[in-house]
Amino acid sequence: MLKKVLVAVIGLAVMAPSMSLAAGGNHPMAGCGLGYVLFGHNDNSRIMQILAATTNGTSGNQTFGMTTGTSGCTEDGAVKFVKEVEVYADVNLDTLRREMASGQGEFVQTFAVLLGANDSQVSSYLTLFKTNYEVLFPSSSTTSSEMLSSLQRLLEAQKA
Amino acid sequence: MLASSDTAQSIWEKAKQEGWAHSREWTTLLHMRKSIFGVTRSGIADDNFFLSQDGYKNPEEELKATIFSFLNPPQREDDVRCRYPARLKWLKEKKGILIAEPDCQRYNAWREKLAPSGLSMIFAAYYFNNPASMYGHTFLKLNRTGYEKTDGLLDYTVNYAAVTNTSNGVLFAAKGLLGLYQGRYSTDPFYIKIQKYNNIESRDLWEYQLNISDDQLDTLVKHLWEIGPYGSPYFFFNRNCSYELLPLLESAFPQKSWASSFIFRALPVDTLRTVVTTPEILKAVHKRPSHLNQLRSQYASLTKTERVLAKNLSTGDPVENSAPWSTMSEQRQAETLDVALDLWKTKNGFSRSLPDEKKKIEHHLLTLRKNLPSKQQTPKTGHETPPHVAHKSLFLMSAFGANKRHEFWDIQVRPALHDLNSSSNGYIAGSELEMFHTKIRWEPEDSQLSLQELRLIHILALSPWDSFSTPPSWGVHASIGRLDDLSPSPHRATSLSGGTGLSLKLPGLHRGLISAMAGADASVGHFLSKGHRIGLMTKAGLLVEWTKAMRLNASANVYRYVTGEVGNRVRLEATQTFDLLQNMELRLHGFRDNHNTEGRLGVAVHL
Repeated sequence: MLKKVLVAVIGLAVMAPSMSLAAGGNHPMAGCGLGYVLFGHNDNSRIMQILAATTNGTSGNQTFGMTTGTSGCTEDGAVKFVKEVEVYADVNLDTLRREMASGQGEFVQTFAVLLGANDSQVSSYLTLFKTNYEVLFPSSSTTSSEMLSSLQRLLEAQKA
Repeated sequence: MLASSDTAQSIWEKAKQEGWAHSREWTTLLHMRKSIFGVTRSGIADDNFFLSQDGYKNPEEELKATIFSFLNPPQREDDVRCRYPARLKWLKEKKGILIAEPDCQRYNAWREKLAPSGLSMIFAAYYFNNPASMYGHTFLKLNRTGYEKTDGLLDYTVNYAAVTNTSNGVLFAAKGLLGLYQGRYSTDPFYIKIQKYNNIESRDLWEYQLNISDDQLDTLVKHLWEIGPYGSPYFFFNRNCSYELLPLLESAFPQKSWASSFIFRALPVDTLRTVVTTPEILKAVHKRPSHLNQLRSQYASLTKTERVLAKNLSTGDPVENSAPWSTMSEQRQAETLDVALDLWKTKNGFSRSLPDEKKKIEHHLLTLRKNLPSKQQTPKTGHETPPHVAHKSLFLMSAFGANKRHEFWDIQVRPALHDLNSSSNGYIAGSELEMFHTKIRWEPEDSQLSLQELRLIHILALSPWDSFSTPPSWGVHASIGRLDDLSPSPHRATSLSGGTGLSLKLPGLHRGLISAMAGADASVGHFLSKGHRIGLMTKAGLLVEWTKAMRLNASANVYRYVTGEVGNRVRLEATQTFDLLQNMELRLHGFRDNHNTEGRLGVAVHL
């Protein structure tokens, strides 16, 4: 499981230099842009919320539609195994940013499991994140790809 | 493993003889339903779903085509047997037909990701300050094998929604009402739903775990694969997000008939109720509170000093250098910082394109937080009424009344949804949403039966100010009806009004609310001077819940019409409601509108 994950995170690190060129905020294409679709635009003004009540639709739901075949991160509407970490980190970046600092929470616990931690390892992952928080989130505009690259280096250093 | 058309023919003969095509196991896979005229039609509007030309209206034809093509599959990359795994399962396992099974790579890969081992129906409750969201939204969640310790965040959900490309709001709303969008199923991970509903939209998520056997779940997931690529026109009133989950669920529970009760209107709260109140189907109910509700409960656990510190921290004050801070234990500092971070989030929202100086505040708070200990996991509390026990959505009322001139009987019908006089359990307190509320009046002395009022739409959102926010209260109203201040004029006018203002909670009174609004009111009618009147409106309201079963709703409106039928108007109104049973009320209602007074006593039921 850890090997599968390192492959994914390494793949990301290779692309990271170009991704971190994006100024401020998260690069739209990290995690196949799903974080961007969810949080990017300010379409949640009160008026929009009220009018959107009649369709309950979002313009981003084609990604997980079952008619879309294979795309960057999904196959027939489900996230590709190798992309799960990247998509999860991007969509949940703001929550992870908080929970990694406080050292607890369901999102950071789930993240540890996704990275391959078994039951007994979860709390040591959480401690690792908290202790190395400033390495993972050095600035207020750290992107999910940057965080994952730092994380990968951290995990590799742990193994050594 | 024979595959010849002879065998297919003999199987078909047997199927016809034994009436396989008319069994629920088969018709539910086709979403067959009887229209109001008694005509049998599939709910799936896409021709490509059917293997036979008349499959959409003829379950026998479709079964015949399925049997023949399964036994003599046309050479295609997406084999028909892989496209219809639920049909294949039924014919093989339940009807004992020998059919060769190919290697269905796409289906297997998809199934492996979902890894379903349990089912929940999830209800996203309302948005604060948006009465239209009282309808709610439903979707399904499939427990994912191997991730039992992750609170379901990685589970896949099944969601039916309109595929929209419009960002123009009004067009959005209109197209949803008129069926101009296609609806489609999608399977996002649950964490996306949590971010969208709990966080961005600040809605509670209620999870209803259902009792379902492995075999039933297997059929449901196979059937989802069958219908996934096909859509139907999405109609807000009846063919919507909540309705379309029902035929999917029926594939796993073919002896249930949930979908057939929803022809003209399908409110998510009603579809939820239909399923979860089915005997023995509900395993457990669990609430996942919205971000705002979590903040409320954590804020309540802080001392007064800590609350002030939290507020200051959330706006960037260097509180950590202050004296009060240094005397606090690390645990209390952690609690206070967590509330400060939640306050910051509530104030700034979930958008990722915030200005840098705002983001730096959060970053600073997190830097402080990381040095403090982790807390015990705060249990998700809250003892609210689950949404499925809210009063039902169809409203009928019969009232006897009198005004200065005569007596009358009123009959009222309202297809949706809730007014301030009914118990707000399961709805947003202080909100009203009415659509097509029709009042017919019978005046015995004149033997006159007429339309007194048709309220096309009526929305009221009274959102009280609290420690975190000062939301506007607002209302919108459109109707055709008699004007009470011009009574006894029997003529009807078309009216439109709207206003905005504020509401405050009344301390001391249980769920007491006072409100004040200002706006405009306009009416058009040939009987009015110059055919219309337009004016300014101010309104003061009082809502009191004496006990759980007794409510008062009182208001005073002052109007000043400045064009057309000019004049002043003062309307005082009050309704006292007594709950007789869960879905039945006694209402005493009266008003004085200029010189006209009216009193009524009636009984209302929710169905």
